Amino acid sequence: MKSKIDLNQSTSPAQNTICARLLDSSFLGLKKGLYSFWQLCTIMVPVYVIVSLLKSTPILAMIGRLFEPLMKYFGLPGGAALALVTGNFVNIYAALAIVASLEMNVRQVTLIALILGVSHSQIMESAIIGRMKAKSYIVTPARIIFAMIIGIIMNLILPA
Amino acid sequence: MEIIISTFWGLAKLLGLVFVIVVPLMMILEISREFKALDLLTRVFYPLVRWIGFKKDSIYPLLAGVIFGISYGGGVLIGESNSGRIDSKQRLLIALFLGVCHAIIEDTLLFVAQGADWLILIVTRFILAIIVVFGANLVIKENVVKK
Repeated sequence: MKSKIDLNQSTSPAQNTICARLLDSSFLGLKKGLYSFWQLCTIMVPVYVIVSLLKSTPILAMIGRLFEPLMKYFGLPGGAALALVTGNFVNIYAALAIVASLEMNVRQVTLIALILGVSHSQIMESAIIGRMKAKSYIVTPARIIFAMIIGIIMNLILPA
Repeated sequence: MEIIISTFWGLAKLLGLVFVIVVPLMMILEISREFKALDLLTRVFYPLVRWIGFKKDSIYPLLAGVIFGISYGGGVLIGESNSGRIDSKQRLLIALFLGVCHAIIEDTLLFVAQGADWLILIVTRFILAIIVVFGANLVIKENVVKK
Protein backbone atom coordinates (compact mmCIF):
# COMPACT_ATOMS: atom_id res chain seq x y z
CA MET A 1 0.00 0.00 0.00
CA LYS A 2 2.89 2.33 -0.55
CA SER A 3 2.74 5.57 -2.49
CA LYS A 4 -0.79 6.30 -1.42
CA ILE A 5 -1.84 9.90 -1.46
CA ASP A 6 -3.52 11.59 1.46
CA LEU A 7 -6.94 11.72 -0.18
CA ASN A 8 -8.65 8.90 1.69
CA GLN A 9 -6.76 8.25 4.88
CA SER A 10 -9.99 7.69 6.80
CA THR A 11 -10.21 4.00 5.86
CA SER A 12 -8.60 1.62 8.29
CA PRO A 13 -5.16 0.39 7.23
CA ALA A 14 -5.80 -3.01 8.80
CA GLN A 15 -8.39 -3.85 6.15
CA ASN A 16 -6.11 -5.13 3.51
CA THR A 17 -8.43 -7.54 1.75
CA ILE A 18 -8.61 -7.51 -2.02
CA CYS A 19 -12.12 -6.10 -1.87
CA ALA A 20 -11.10 -3.21 0.36
CA ARG A 21 -8.09 -2.45 -1.80
CA LEU A 22 -10.27 -2.49 -4.89
CA LEU A 23 -12.77 -0.11 -3.30
CA ASP A 24 -10.06 2.18 -1.95
CA SER A 25 -8.18 2.44 -5.20
CA SER A 26 -11.26 2.94 -7.35
CA PHE A 27 -12.48 5.63 -4.98
CA LEU A 28 -9.12 7.38 -5.19
CA GLY A 29 -9.28 7.09 -8.99
CA LEU A 30 -12.82 8.46 -9.00
CA LYS A 31 -11.74 11.48 -6.95
CA LYS A 32 -8.76 12.17 -9.19
CA GLY A 33 -10.88 11.63 -12.30
CA LEU A 34 -13.53 14.07 -11.13
CA TYR A 35 -10.80 16.58 -10.28
CA SER A 36 -9.33 16.22 -13.80
CA PHE A 37 -12.77 16.50 -15.36
CA TRP A 38 -13.51 19.69 -13.45
CA GLN A 39 -10.14 21.17 -14.39
CA LEU A 40 -10.77 20.37 -18.05
CA CYS A 41 -14.29 21.84 -17.83
CA THR A 42 -13.02 25.17 -16.56
CA ILE A 43 -10.95 25.65 -19.70
CA MET A 44 -12.98 23.75 -22.29
CA VAL A 45 -16.21 25.69 -21.73
CA PRO A 46 -14.83 29.20 -22.33
CA VAL A 47 -12.50 28.08 -25.14
CA TYR A 48 -15.25 26.18 -26.93
CA VAL A 49 -17.54 29.22 -26.83
CA ILE A 50 -14.80 31.54 -28.12
CA VAL A 51 -13.91 29.14 -30.95
CA SER A 52 -17.58 28.77 -31.94
CA LEU A 53 -17.94 32.53 -32.18
CA LEU A 54 -14.70 32.78 -34.15
CA LYS A 55 -15.98 30.18 -36.60
CA SER A 56 -19.02 32.31 -37.42
CA THR A 57 -16.95 35.38 -38.31
CA PRO A 58 -15.12 36.03 -41.60
CA ILE A 59 -11.77 36.22 -39.76
CA LEU A 60 -10.74 32.64 -40.63
CA ALA A 61 -11.52 33.18 -44.32
CA MET A 62 -9.38 36.30 -44.29
CA ILE A 63 -6.42 34.55 -42.68
CA GLY A 64 -6.91 31.63 -45.07
CA ARG A 65 -6.62 33.91 -48.10
CA LEU A 66 -3.36 35.25 -46.66
CA PHE A 67 -1.83 31.76 -46.66
CA GLU A 68 -3.03 30.65 -50.10
CA PRO A 69 0.28 31.45 -51.89
CA LEU A 70 2.17 29.21 -49.44
CA MET A 71 0.17 26.08 -50.28
CA LYS A 72 2.34 25.18 -53.26
CA TYR A 73 5.24 24.36 -50.92
CA PHE A 74 3.06 21.68 -49.34
CA GLY A 75 1.89 20.35 -52.70
CA LEU A 76 -1.66 21.54 -51.95
CA PRO A 77 -4.20 23.59 -53.92
CA GLY A 78 -4.72 27.18 -52.75
CA GLY A 79 -8.12 26.37 -51.28
CA ALA A 80 -6.45 24.08 -48.75
CA ALA A 81 -5.26 27.18 -46.88
CA LEU A 82 -8.75 27.70 -45.46
CA ALA A 83 -8.85 24.05 -44.33
CA LEU A 84 -5.48 24.43 -42.58
CA VAL A 85 -6.44 27.71 -40.89
CA THR A 86 -9.83 26.34 -39.82
CA GLY A 87 -8.26 23.12 -38.56
CA ASN A 88 -5.75 25.02 -36.48
CA PHE A 89 -8.18 27.54 -35.00
CA VAL A 90 -11.28 25.35 -34.71
CA ASN A 91 -10.78 21.58 -35.01
CA ILE A 92 -10.17 18.69 -37.39
CA TYR A 93 -13.88 18.13 -38.00
CA ALA A 94 -14.35 21.69 -39.26
CA ALA A 95 -11.28 21.27 -41.47
CA LEU A 96 -12.56 17.96 -42.84
CA ALA A 97 -15.72 19.59 -44.11
CA ILE A 98 -13.56 21.90 -46.22
CA VAL A 99 -11.20 19.10 -47.32
CA ALA A 100 -14.21 17.11 -48.52
CA SER A 101 -15.33 20.02 -50.69
CA LEU A 102 -11.93 20.44 -52.39
CA GLU A 103 -11.78 17.15 -54.34
CA MET A 104 -8.11 16.50 -53.69
CA ASN A 105 -6.23 13.36 -54.75
CA VAL A 106 -4.83 10.70 -52.38
CA ARG A 107 -1.42 12.36 -52.21
CA GLN A 108 -2.89 15.76 -51.37
CA VAL A 109 -5.26 14.36 -48.75
CA THR A 110 -2.37 12.46 -47.14
CA LEU A 111 -0.26 15.62 -47.07
CA ILE A 112 -2.96 17.81 -45.53
CA ALA A 113 -3.78 15.02 -43.06
CA LEU A 114 -0.14 14.99 -41.95
CA ILE A 115 0.01 18.75 -41.49
CA LEU A 116 -3.33 18.87 -39.67
CA GLY A 117 -2.50 15.76 -37.66
CA VAL A 118 0.57 17.44 -36.19
CA SER A 119 -1.03 20.84 -35.72
CA HIS A 120 -4.75 21.33 -35.09
CA SER A 121 -7.26 22.77 -32.56
CA GLN A 122 -4.46 24.97 -31.29
CA ILE A 123 -6.62 27.24 -29.13
CA MET A 124 -8.24 24.37 -27.28
CA GLU A 125 -5.19 22.14 -27.08
CA SER A 126 -2.75 24.82 -25.96
CA ALA A 127 -5.21 25.64 -23.17
CA ILE A 128 -5.27 21.97 -22.19
CA ILE A 129 -1.49 21.75 -22.33
CA GLY A 130 -1.32 24.80 -20.10
CA ARG A 131 -3.66 23.11 -17.65
CA MET A 132 -1.37 20.06 -17.74
CA LYS A 133 1.22 22.43 -16.30
CA ALA A 134 3.37 21.94 -19.38
CA LYS A 135 4.74 24.96 -21.22
CA SER A 136 2.25 25.64 -24.01
CA TYR A 137 4.30 28.63 -25.22
CA ILE A 138 6.88 26.05 -26.29
CA VAL A 139 4.59 23.24 -27.43
CA THR A 140 2.18 25.28 -29.55
CA PRO A 141 4.75 27.09 -31.76
CA ALA A 142 6.73 23.84 -31.96
CA ARG A 143 3.71 22.00 -33.37
CA ILE A 144 3.05 24.68 -35.98
CA ILE A 145 6.68 24.73 -37.09
CA PHE A 146 6.99 20.93 -37.19
CA ALA A 147 3.71 20.66 -39.10
CA MET A 148 5.08 23.01 -41.77
CA ILE A 149 8.44 21.21 -41.89
CA ILE A 150 6.78 17.81 -42.20
CA GLY A 151 4.49 19.16 -44.94
CA ILE A 152 7.42 20.47 -46.98
CA ILE A 153 9.54 17.34 -46.47
CA MET A 154 6.77 14.87 -47.24
CA ASN A 155 5.81 16.87 -50.34
CA LEU A 156 9.36 16.27 -51.56
CA ILE A 157 9.48 12.61 -50.51
CA LEU A 158 6.05 11.27 -51.50
CA PRO A 159 5.88 10.01 -55.08
CA ALA A 160 3.54 11.96 -57.32
CA MET B 1 -30.13 31.53 -31.85
CA GLU B 2 -29.07 28.59 -33.99
CA ILE B 3 -25.43 29.15 -33.12
CA ILE B 4 -26.19 29.22 -29.38
CA ILE B 5 -28.02 25.90 -29.55
CA SER B 6 -25.38 24.19 -31.70
CA THR B 7 -22.59 25.53 -29.48
CA PHE B 8 -24.37 24.29 -26.38
CA TRP B 9 -24.93 20.82 -27.84
CA GLY B 10 -21.40 20.54 -29.16
CA LEU B 11 -20.05 21.54 -25.77
CA ALA B 12 -22.33 19.13 -23.90
CA LYS B 13 -21.26 16.26 -26.16
CA LEU B 14 -17.58 17.14 -25.77
CA LEU B 15 -17.75 17.35 -21.97
CA GLY B 16 -19.83 14.17 -21.79
CA LEU B 17 -17.19 12.33 -23.80
CA VAL B 18 -14.39 13.71 -21.64
CA PHE B 19 -16.27 12.60 -18.53
CA VAL B 20 -16.90 9.02 -19.67
CA ILE B 21 -13.27 8.60 -20.72
CA VAL B 22 -11.24 10.54 -18.13
CA VAL B 23 -12.98 9.27 -14.99
CA PRO B 24 -12.69 5.55 -15.88
CA LEU B 25 -9.10 6.12 -17.07
CA MET B 26 -8.17 7.51 -13.64
CA MET B 27 -9.97 4.66 -11.86
CA ILE B 28 -8.19 2.06 -14.01
CA LEU B 29 -4.89 3.81 -13.27
CA GLU B 30 -5.38 3.69 -9.50
CA ILE B 31 -6.72 0.14 -9.45
CA SER B 32 -3.88 -1.15 -11.60
CA ARG B 33 -1.37 0.73 -9.47
CA GLU B 34 -2.82 -0.89 -6.35
CA PHE B 35 -2.69 -4.36 -7.86
CA LYS B 36 0.72 -3.94 -9.50
CA ALA B 37 -0.76 -4.31 -12.98
CA LEU B 38 0.85 -0.99 -13.83
CA ASP B 39 4.25 -2.64 -13.44
CA LEU B 40 3.32 -4.96 -16.29
CA LEU B 41 2.49 -2.03 -18.55
CA THR B 42 5.72 -0.35 -17.52
CA ARG B 43 7.75 -3.48 -18.21
CA VAL B 44 6.37 -3.63 -21.77
CA PHE B 45 6.61 0.04 -22.73
CA TYR B 46 9.47 1.43 -20.62
CA PRO B 47 12.23 -0.12 -22.77
CA LEU B 48 10.56 1.47 -25.83
CA VAL B 49 10.42 5.02 -24.45
CA ARG B 50 13.34 5.17 -21.99
CA TRP B 51 15.93 6.06 -24.60
CA ILE B 52 14.09 9.21 -25.69
CA GLY B 53 13.93 10.43 -22.09
CA PHE B 54 10.63 9.26 -20.62
CA LYS B 55 10.36 7.97 -17.08
CA LYS B 56 8.18 5.12 -15.85
CA ASP B 57 5.38 7.30 -14.45
CA SER B 58 4.98 9.08 -17.79
CA ILE B 59 3.96 5.94 -19.63
CA TYR B 60 0.30 5.83 -18.60
CA PRO B 61 -0.58 9.45 -19.51
CA LEU B 62 1.42 9.00 -22.70
CA LEU B 63 -0.54 5.91 -23.73
CA ALA B 64 -3.84 7.52 -22.78
CA GLY B 65 -3.01 10.53 -24.97
CA VAL B 66 -1.70 8.59 -27.95
CA ILE B 67 -4.76 6.34 -28.00
CA PHE B 68 -7.61 8.62 -26.88
CA GLY B 69 -6.41 12.18 -27.43
CA ILE B 70 -4.64 15.07 -25.80
CA SER B 71 -7.56 15.99 -23.52
CA TYR B 72 -7.56 12.50 -22.06
CA GLY B 73 -3.81 12.15 -21.66
CA GLY B 74 -3.92 15.65 -20.22
CA GLY B 75 -6.73 14.60 -17.91
CA VAL B 76 -4.58 11.81 -16.51
CA LEU B 77 -1.70 14.26 -16.04
CA ILE B 78 -3.95 16.75 -14.27
CA GLY B 79 -5.20 13.99 -11.97
CA GLU B 80 -1.60 13.06 -11.22
CA SER B 81 -0.45 16.62 -10.82
CA ASN B 82 -0.70 16.64 -7.03
CA SER B 83 1.10 13.34 -6.58
CA GLY B 84 4.53 14.72 -7.42
CA ARG B 85 5.28 11.67 -9.56
CA ILE B 86 5.75 13.56 -12.80
CA ASP B 87 8.17 16.50 -12.83
CA SER B 88 8.00 19.53 -15.11
CA LYS B 89 10.53 18.23 -17.62
CA GLN B 90 8.51 15.03 -18.00
CA ARG B 91 5.37 17.14 -18.40
CA LEU B 92 6.94 19.08 -21.23
CA LEU B 93 8.22 15.92 -22.92
CA ILE B 94 4.78 14.33 -22.64
CA ALA B 95 3.14 17.47 -24.02
CA LEU B 96 5.58 17.61 -26.93
CA PHE B 97 5.09 13.94 -27.79
CA LEU B 98 1.32 14.15 -27.52
CA GLY B 99 1.25 17.49 -29.32
CA VAL B 100 2.66 15.84 -32.41
CA CYS B 101 1.18 12.39 -31.95
CA HIS B 102 -2.18 11.98 -30.21
CA ALA B 103 -5.61 10.46 -30.84
CA ILE B 104 -3.80 8.33 -33.35
CA ILE B 105 -6.83 6.17 -34.11
CA GLU B 106 -9.47 8.88 -34.42
CA ASP B 107 -7.38 11.40 -36.37
CA THR B 108 -6.15 8.74 -38.76
CA LEU B 109 -9.58 7.26 -39.43
CA LEU B 110 -11.06 10.69 -40.11
CA PHE B 111 -8.59 11.32 -42.91
CA VAL B 112 -8.58 7.74 -44.20
CA ALA B 113 -12.29 8.28 -44.83
CA GLN B 114 -11.21 11.12 -47.14
CA GLY B 115 -8.73 8.85 -48.94
CA ALA B 116 -5.48 9.43 -47.03
CA ASP B 117 -2.83 6.71 -46.60
CA TRP B 118 -3.09 5.54 -42.97
CA LEU B 119 0.35 3.95 -42.75
CA ILE B 120 2.12 7.14 -43.82
CA LEU B 121 0.08 9.17 -41.33
CA ILE B 122 0.80 6.95 -38.33
CA VAL B 123 4.46 6.24 -39.07
CA THR B 124 5.30 9.87 -39.85
CA ARG B 125 3.65 11.21 -36.70
CA PHE B 126 5.38 8.63 -34.49
CA ILE B 127 8.79 9.26 -36.04
CA LEU B 128 8.37 13.03 -35.75
CA ALA B 129 7.24 12.75 -32.12
CA ILE B 130 10.22 10.54 -31.29
CA ILE B 131 12.69 12.93 -32.96
CA VAL B 132 11.15 15.96 -31.22
CA VAL B 133 11.20 14.39 -27.76
CA PHE B 134 14.67 12.93 -28.27
CA GLY B 135 15.97 16.39 -29.16
CA ALA B 136 14.05 18.15 -26.40
CA ASN B 137 15.35 15.66 -23.84
CA LEU B 138 18.92 16.54 -24.81
CA VAL B 139 18.28 20.29 -24.77
CA ILE B 140 16.17 20.68 -21.61
CA LYS B 141 18.05 20.58 -18.35
CA GLU B 142 17.07 18.01 -15.74
CA ASN B 143 14.88 19.46 -13.00
CA VAL B 144 16.41 20.37 -9.71
CA VAL B 145 14.56 18.20 -7.23
CA LYS B 146 11.91 20.23 -5.49
CA LYS B 147 8.80 19.30 -3.61
